[in-house]
Amino acid sequence: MLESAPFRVVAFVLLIAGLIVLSGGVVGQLLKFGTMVVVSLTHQPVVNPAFPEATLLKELDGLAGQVFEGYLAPLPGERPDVFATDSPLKDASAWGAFLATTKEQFGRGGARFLDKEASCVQAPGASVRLVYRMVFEKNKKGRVAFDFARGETGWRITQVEPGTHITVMDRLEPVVDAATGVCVLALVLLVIAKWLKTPAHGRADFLKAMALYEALTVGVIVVLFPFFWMFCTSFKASGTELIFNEKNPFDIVPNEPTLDNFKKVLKIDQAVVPGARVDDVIEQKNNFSTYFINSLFVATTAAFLVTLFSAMAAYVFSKKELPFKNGLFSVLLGTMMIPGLMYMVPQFFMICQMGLTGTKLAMFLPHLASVFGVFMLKQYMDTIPSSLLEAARIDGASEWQCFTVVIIPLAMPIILTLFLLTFLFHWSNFLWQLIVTDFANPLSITLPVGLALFRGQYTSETGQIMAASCFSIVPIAVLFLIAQKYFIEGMTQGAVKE
Amino acid sequence: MNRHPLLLAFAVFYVLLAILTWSQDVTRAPDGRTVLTFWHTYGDDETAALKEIIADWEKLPANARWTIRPIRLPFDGHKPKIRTALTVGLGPDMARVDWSFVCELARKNACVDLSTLGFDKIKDQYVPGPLQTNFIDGKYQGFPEQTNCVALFYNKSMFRDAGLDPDKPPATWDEFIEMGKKLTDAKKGIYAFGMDNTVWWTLPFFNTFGAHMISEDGKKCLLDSPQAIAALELKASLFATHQIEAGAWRAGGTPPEQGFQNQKYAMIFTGPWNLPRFANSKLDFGVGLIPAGPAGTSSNVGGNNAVIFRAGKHHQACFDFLAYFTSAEVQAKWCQRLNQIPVNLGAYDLIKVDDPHLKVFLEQMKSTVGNPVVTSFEMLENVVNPEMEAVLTGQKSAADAMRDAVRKVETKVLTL
Repeated sequence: MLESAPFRVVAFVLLIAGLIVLSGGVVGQLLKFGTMVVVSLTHQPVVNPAFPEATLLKELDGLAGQVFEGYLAPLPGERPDVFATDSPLKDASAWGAFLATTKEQFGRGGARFLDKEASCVQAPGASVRLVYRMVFEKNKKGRVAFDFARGETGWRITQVEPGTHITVMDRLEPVVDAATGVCVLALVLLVIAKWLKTPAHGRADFLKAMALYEALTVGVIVVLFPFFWMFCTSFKASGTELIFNEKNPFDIVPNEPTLDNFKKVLKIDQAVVPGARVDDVIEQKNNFSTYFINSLFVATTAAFLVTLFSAMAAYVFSKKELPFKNGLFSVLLGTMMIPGLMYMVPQFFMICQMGLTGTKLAMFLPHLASVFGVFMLKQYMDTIPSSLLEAARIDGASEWQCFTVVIIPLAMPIILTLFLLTFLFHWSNFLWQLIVTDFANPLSITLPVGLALFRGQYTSETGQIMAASCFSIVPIAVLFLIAQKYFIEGMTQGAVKE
Repeated sequence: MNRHPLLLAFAVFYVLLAILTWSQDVTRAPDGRTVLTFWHTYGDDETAALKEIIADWEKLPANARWTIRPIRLPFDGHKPKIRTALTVGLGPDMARVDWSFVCELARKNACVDLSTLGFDKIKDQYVPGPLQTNFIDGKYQGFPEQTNCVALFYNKSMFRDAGLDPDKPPATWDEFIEMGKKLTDAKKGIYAFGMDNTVWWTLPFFNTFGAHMISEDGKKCLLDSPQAIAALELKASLFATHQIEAGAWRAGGTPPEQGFQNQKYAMIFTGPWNLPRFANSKLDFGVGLIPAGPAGTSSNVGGNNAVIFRAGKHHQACFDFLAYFTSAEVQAKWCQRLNQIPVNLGAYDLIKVDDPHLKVFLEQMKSTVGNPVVTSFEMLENVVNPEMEAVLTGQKSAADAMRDAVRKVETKVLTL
C-alpha cells in the first residue's frame, strides 16, 4: 500500500503529526527539567515558599497609602493603620489604580486577575482590619487567592488558597516553551528535508523507519517515565510531593524546585567541627552516603565471592568426575525448594554464635553458597565442549589454568549475569540486613534499611526517599552499561563462522 | 594486567571502597554506668527531643547508675527485628512498639507485667483509650507512650464554594450526608469524602455507633451486633446510596490524603501527623470532630506503647525511666515541642496549644475508645477487610458480611 503516492503522503503527514506530539512532549519536559535543575542550583530556596512577601509588601505599602487615605481622616487620634469600616471605598479611581498596578504585579507569568472580595476581619486584639481578598487564576494551575490585610504593623499578605505564586520557573516558562517550539520545528524541518531528498522509490522504507522510531520512542517513554517522575519528585518541597497539576497530570516538573531533599539525605547542612562529641559525629555520619558506601561494599564483595565460588563448584559438577555427583547435585537443587525465609532465624542464630552480629561480613556470609548460582553456571558450562579442556591439557595446562584460561572466558556472559543478579539481590535485601544490623552503631546501616528510616509510622518523606533513590540506581545503571557489551558479545559468539 | 583494564579498574575501585568503608567506624568509650538499651522508631526531631529527656533523667541523683542508649529502628521493620532479636537473646531492655504489637509480645511472654513494678499507682494519669491498648488478659503490659487518633479534615474553600459555612464542619452523620451532597460534583471528579476501608480506619464508624469488635474477655467477636451492622451500613451508604464518597478505598482509587491535597475530596479522616504536611502545601483546611452517631463522637487510637522485656535484667530502672518519660511534665514538654497529643491527662493542663487544629485532636482524643485487643491485628485486618469490601461493593448485605466475619475472626484470629 505504501507504494501508492497519495497514501504515502497521508502516512507522512500522520507520522509528522506524531513526531510533533512526541518530540514536543519529550523535549518540552526535558528542557523544563534542565531549567529546573539550574534554577534549583542557582536560586536559594525561599524560606516561606508561599509568596515573595518582602518586596511586594514594600511596593504595596506605597500604592495602598493613596487608596486608603480617605479612611484615615475620620478617625483622628486613632492608629492610622487601623480601619473601622466596611463601607465601600470612597475614591474608586484610586482603588482602580491600585488594582491595575497589583494586577500588573501579579500578571507577570500569566496570572489572570479575577475578582476581589472585600470583608471585615475581627482581629484577636479587637482592632478591626480591612481585608481585601484578591483572586487570581493562573493559566494552568487553577485559582490563587491572597488576603491583603492592613494591620497595626502594616500590610500583611496571606495566601489563603493553594496554587502557585509566580516563581522563577513561571517566568522562564515562555522561554522554555519557545525553545521547545524551536527544537520541534527544527526536527520537523530536518525530517521534511530528508523526505524531499529521498528518491520516490526509497520513501516507503523511509516511512517504515520513521514509524519504527516513533514506536520505539513511545516504548522508551513508557519505560523511563517512572524514573523521570522520581527525579522530579526529589526536587519537590516537603509536603507538596503528592500535588499534581490539575490540567495535565503528566506535567510533573515542580514549579518551585529545591535541593532540600538532597541536602537532608546527605546531612550537608550538619557539618561537624573537629573535636565534636562522638555522638554528634555519629549523628552527622549517619546519613545516606554512609548507607550507600556500606551497601556498595557489601553488594560488590558478595557478588564477587558468590560468582567465584559458584563458578568453581559449577566447573566441578560440569566437567569433573566424582562419585555420587548427580545425587549430590540433586540434593543441592532440592534445597532450592525450601523458601529462604525458613533459614532466616537459624542463620541469624549462627551469625550470633560466631559473634558477627552487626558486621559487614554478616550481611552476606550466609548467602555466599548460592545453589541457584551453581545451577545456572553448570547448565551453561555443560554446553562448553569438553574437547577444549582436553586440548588445553594436552598443551600442558594445569587444572587452575583450565579453569581460568578456558572456562572463565567462555562462561563470561553467564558469570556476569550471575554477578549482576547477586549484586541486585544484596543491594536490595531488606529483611536479612535489617535483622543482622546492629542499630546501636548506625554507621553499619546499609541502603535498604537506611531507606526504610525515611518512612515513619504514618508519614513518609517521599521527597527524601526519591532523592536517595536517585543515587541508589546509579551503581545498577553503571553495571548494566558495562556488562551489556559482554552480554551481546556472549550471545553472538560462535554464531557465525568466517 | 594490560589485557584486562576493566579488571584492574575493578580492583582499584574495590580497594578504595574497602578503605572508605572501614574509615567510617567510630568507637565510643564506656563511662562505667550500666547501659539500658531503648529501641525506638522516632523520626529525626523526636530523636533529638528524646536525647534531651534522657539526659535530664540521667542527671537525677537517683539515676546515677544508669545510662540509657536510644537506638533507632525503621518503623517498617521493627516487628521482625524485635522478634528475631528476642529469639536469640539479643533483645533490648525496653522498646517502643506499635500499639498492636503489645498483645503479641505479651502473649508470647516477652514483656514484664507492669503491676509488679508499681504501675497501678500511676495508671490513672493516662488517657483511657491508649492505656487500654496495653491491658492484655487482665494485666497492664506496657506504657502508653505516644498517641493519636483520626479526626475530620475539611477543605474550607470547597465549603465556601458549595455555599457552606467554612467554620462549621458537620457535627452528626445526618449533617455529614446533607453537606456531602452539596459538596459533591461527580462530573468534575469532586467528592465530599474519601475514605479508607480497613479495620483501623473503620473504627471511628463503629465507635460512634457504640459497637465493640471483640468482647472484653477476648473470646468472642461482636461484629454482628446491631450497632456494628448499622455503622457499616452507614459507611456503605456514603459510597453506594448517597454517592458522596469517591471510592478512594478501591484498588487504583486516589488515596484520601492525595485527593484532599489535590482538592478532589472535601473531607477525609486523618491524623495529626498530616497537619504540617497540609500546612506546607498551603491548603485552606479546618479540623473538626468525627461526626456524632448514636454514641456521640469518637475515634480510633493510634500510636505506640513502650514495653519492658523480661530478658532484660533491670526492670525497675526501665520502669522508672518510662514512668518519667510519660509523666505529666515531660509529656507536656514533649508535646509542646513536637505538636503531639499527650498520653498523660495531667499534661493537658500544662501545655498551651496555639494551633486550633491540634486543639480539636486533644478534644477528640478524650472520646476515643480502646482498640480491639488481639494477638495479631494484621490477621484481624486480613480477615475482616474483605468482608467490609464486599458490603461496600454491594456483594453482601452488612448483616451477612458481619456474620461471616464473626465466624472467621473466631476461628482464625481469636484462636491464635
